[in-house]
Amino acid sequence: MNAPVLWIFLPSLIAFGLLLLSNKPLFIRWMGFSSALFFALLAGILPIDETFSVGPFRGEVRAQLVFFGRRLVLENAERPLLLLVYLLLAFWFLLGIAGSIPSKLYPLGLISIALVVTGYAVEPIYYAAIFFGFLSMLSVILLSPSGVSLTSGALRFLVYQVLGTICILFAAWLLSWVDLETVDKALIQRTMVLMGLGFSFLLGIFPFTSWISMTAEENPPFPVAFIFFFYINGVLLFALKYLSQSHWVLEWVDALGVVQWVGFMMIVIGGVSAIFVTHVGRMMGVGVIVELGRSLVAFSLQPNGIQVYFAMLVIQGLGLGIWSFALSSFQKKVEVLDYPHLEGLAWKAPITSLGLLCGIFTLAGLPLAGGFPLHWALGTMLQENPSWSGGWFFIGNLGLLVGGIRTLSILSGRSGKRFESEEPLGVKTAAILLICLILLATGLVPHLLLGWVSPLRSILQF
Amino acid sequence: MPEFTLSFVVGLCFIFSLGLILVNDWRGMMGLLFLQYGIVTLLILESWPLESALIKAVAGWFAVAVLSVSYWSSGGWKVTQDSVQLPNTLFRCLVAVLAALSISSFFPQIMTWFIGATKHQVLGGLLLLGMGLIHLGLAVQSTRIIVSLLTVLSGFEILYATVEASIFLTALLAANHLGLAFLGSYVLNISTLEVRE
Repeated sequence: MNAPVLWIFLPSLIAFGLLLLSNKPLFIRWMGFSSALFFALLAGILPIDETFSVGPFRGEVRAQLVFFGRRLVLENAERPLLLLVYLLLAFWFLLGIAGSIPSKLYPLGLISIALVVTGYAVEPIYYAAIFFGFLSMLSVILLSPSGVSLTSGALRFLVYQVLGTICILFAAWLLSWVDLETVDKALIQRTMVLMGLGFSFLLGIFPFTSWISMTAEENPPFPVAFIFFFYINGVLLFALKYLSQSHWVLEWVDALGVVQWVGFMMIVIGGVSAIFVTHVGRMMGVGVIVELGRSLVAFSLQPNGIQVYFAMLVIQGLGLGIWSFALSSFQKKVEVLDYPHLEGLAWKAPITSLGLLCGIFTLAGLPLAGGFPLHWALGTMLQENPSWSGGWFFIGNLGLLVGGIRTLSILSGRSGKRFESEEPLGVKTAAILLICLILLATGLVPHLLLGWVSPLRSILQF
Repeated sequence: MPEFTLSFVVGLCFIFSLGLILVNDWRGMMGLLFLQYGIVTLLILESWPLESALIKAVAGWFAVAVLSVSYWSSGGWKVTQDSVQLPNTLFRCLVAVLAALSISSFFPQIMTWFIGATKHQVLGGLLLLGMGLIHLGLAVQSTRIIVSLLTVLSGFEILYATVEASIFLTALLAANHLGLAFLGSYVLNISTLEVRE
């Protein structure tokens, strides 16, 4: 047995099986969730490239699979990453079950994660660009509910991803021409510009940011957040692995410095936008832009920033999950998620409103919320940088905080309405309350989370 | 292939991609896309053996077939026979010609990037890339966007075929064309799909 077969082909196979059972949505949902949990469990217990025994049986999971002359490699050191990814997938699937999200999320979600893992495992790494191209096509299907026309945001997302794939393949090819002994600086610069352009397209970095807020406004919130979370973080991991494998380039170009600058730029753009947006779906997109910026800053702060990034990934998953879950619930009530339609809704749906605010304030890094200690840690790491960098970093938090407060004031309404909750206590409200508690707990004991993700510190270091 | 034939093929590249920008009728668009894939295969044939180059043609033609059938089944043949507006057509023509002129003026410099490629391949690839991007910029309908992306990808593949001949990558890129075609098919039929949940 090979690790790529276990964590790439098997999930895809299950997903294709589920696609054939479209008339049994409940089965698809629970099967999708159990599969994600099963693969997380496997990642937790099965060592790679080491012999293990189950009763009388002895076996070994090999790290490598050769496929048409190319390799898919998942090392033992990367098992914690697999565990984290599949656990987060299981969390999103469980949330989807609680929120009765359309069942196509489950098979397509499983295939998406298999593609993300393939993108991370494939060698040479630049082939990953094509897998992310496939993932973007799947994402467009996921973003488009049946019976509704495709939105312009989803189309723009697709166009940017295809163009990004092309740029990265070109850059990889140019990189292969670089001779280490007689270095052609112009060629390296050309390569880096193409690579930067490619990743800017894929990640939605300025000036290609528009698809993030457009899709967040026009499409169903839960699938949008799912794609934002898994797609963007998948591409981030691919980008960092790509950069870490071409580390000799860092001798000629200050790539980490550029990554940090881009991170600050995204934080400032997101933070300032958060103050002005009047659509909570769009604000979620803005939150994703800020989080993307923070992730880039965390990556640039090698080596400790990596651990904080993975801890942020958990918080981001929980925060975006509850945010989009609450928005989905609101969308069923009011259809349009702009401020005028949401006014006074906290009196009718207090727990969903609490979930929405919890999601916003977690990503805003409000003290006691899950994001706060991690943002604080990153801010502390920036002490060695010029003083303005810390200020830029907290613009994102400030912007989201202002956005959160505005949302709170809109939800609570201007007139003195009477409290008449129309929200039945059930699975949805229990899920929201539970996630709020988890986010609060991670804010109180962040060292537990940081300790849990510490095995991931060793991967992706330059 | 003789020099003259290759120059003719590059000329056809421009004509077909320009046709894709101008044509409003879906039958015409699919026909031009079909022919364009044939031209792409001829240019790739300069670097690859016939059996490998044919993969591009087969994948491309299959993509055209998928799009055509979906368009037929969605009833699109009846509705998108837009009337041809002369100023619109002239504007599109002008933009495309300007793009082609810019490409030909940058061509000698760009040629130095693609070591191992013939000038016809580079010119053909760049023309398709450029015209595809122009088409992308002018397109509003989602299926037109898919067609323009297929054109961009075709241009890219002509250039990329001069440097990479891996079977795995060829298969992946072919799957990319098919994926886009299936997505186009989904997009065409999405508004008629039944909502079950």
